[in-house]
Amino acid sequence: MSTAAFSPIFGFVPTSPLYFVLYMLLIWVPYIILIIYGQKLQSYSIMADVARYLNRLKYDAEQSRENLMSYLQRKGVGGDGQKSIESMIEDVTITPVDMDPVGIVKKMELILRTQEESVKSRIKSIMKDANEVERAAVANMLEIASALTLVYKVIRHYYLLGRKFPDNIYLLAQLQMILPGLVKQADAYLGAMGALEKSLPLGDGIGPMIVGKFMRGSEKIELDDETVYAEYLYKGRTVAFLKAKGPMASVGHVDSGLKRLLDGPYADVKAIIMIDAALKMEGEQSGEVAVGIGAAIGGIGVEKFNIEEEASRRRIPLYAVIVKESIFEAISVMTRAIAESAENARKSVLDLIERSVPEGEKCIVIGVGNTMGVAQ
Amino acid sequence: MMMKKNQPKQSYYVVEECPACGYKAKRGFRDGDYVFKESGICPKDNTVMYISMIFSEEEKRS
Ligand SMILES: [Zn+2]
Repeated sequence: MSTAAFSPIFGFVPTSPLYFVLYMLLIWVPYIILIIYGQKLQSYSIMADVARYLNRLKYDAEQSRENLMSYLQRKGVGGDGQKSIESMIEDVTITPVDMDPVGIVKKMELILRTQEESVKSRIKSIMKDANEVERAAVANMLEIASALTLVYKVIRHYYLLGRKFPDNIYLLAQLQMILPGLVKQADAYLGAMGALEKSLPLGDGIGPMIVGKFMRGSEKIELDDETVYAEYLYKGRTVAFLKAKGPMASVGHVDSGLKRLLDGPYADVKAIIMIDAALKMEGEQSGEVAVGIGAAIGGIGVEKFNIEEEASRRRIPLYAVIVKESIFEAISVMTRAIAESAENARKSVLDLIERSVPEGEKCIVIGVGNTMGVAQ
Repeated sequence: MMMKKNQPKQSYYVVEECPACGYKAKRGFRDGDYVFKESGICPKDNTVMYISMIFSEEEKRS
């Protein structure tokens, strides 16, 4: 009777006091160890997981650098030139102070423009014989290599901090949470380098591709060295189609291009329509076209700010036509579903022009995105 | 582990379109191709065609 109380546990019935003590130790010692050291053990397992992802980020960063160097090699850039461009991967850009955010966009714009111009002129001085497409490819590859290197370094920083303080499981757990998505994005950026080498259009290029089709056959007027527009007549409306100048990799300067048109021949437009690729939500179909209101443009926000300011100051309504795609599709070679959505988006644009611009009036349509592999 | 495990290979294609009659033809991507580049001649009316789209597609397994 005295042993019957234990029999439900694994059917084990201790037959002597020694067995009973051993049995209790077997159950309780691991339990107490887990209570005391459980978090530490968990943090080691998280650390191992984070280390695997970190290795992948390191691979992406190194591979991007190698891709850039081998592209330069193939384009006949010598050792000194290669070294000089490689050193630019580690160049830092310092963002303006945001304690007093009034006017921060203009400061940001200055910093970004300066960075862009200096990279462009340095590449130009190194690659004297290369054409515009090749130089733009190098600038974009450099940007990817810099971004991947920075991401790797930041994650490595937090990983090493986490290893220093293994009791702080939350530091590592946060890394573990964001890393799978981050690594997938890093992989996609690395993949985009292949597209750059061949100058293939990206998913992000759908905006310029839709606008470019309207511009085909019309006279193109350059607003600056990276931005062009063409005039197009549609059912009595005069439409200026504006995009980055292709087919080299560039997003152009659509904000300053728009300002120039508004200050010049298009002062009295009735609408500004922006076409852009936008992030879809999971479950939405890639290539779905949606129409809306507002400035459709991504990035840090400088262009968006400038466009919204110009439009609101002159009280011009902003309309948007967006093509939905995932972040991975946006930075990979354009898929068939997205390419074929151009026709639908084109119809939406024409529809929008008819609805929002009276006959005899003018409007501006902007194709937002990287125009690599897409001319006009 | 996160290496591309048997991911289907991507192939790049180009669609040429005739501006006069709308005839379309698909072919493989060649270096130097870009969207709206003039390329090929329409077999129906001998108009010079242009590239209307470039896209990637998963290679069909044979
Ligand atoms: Zn034809």
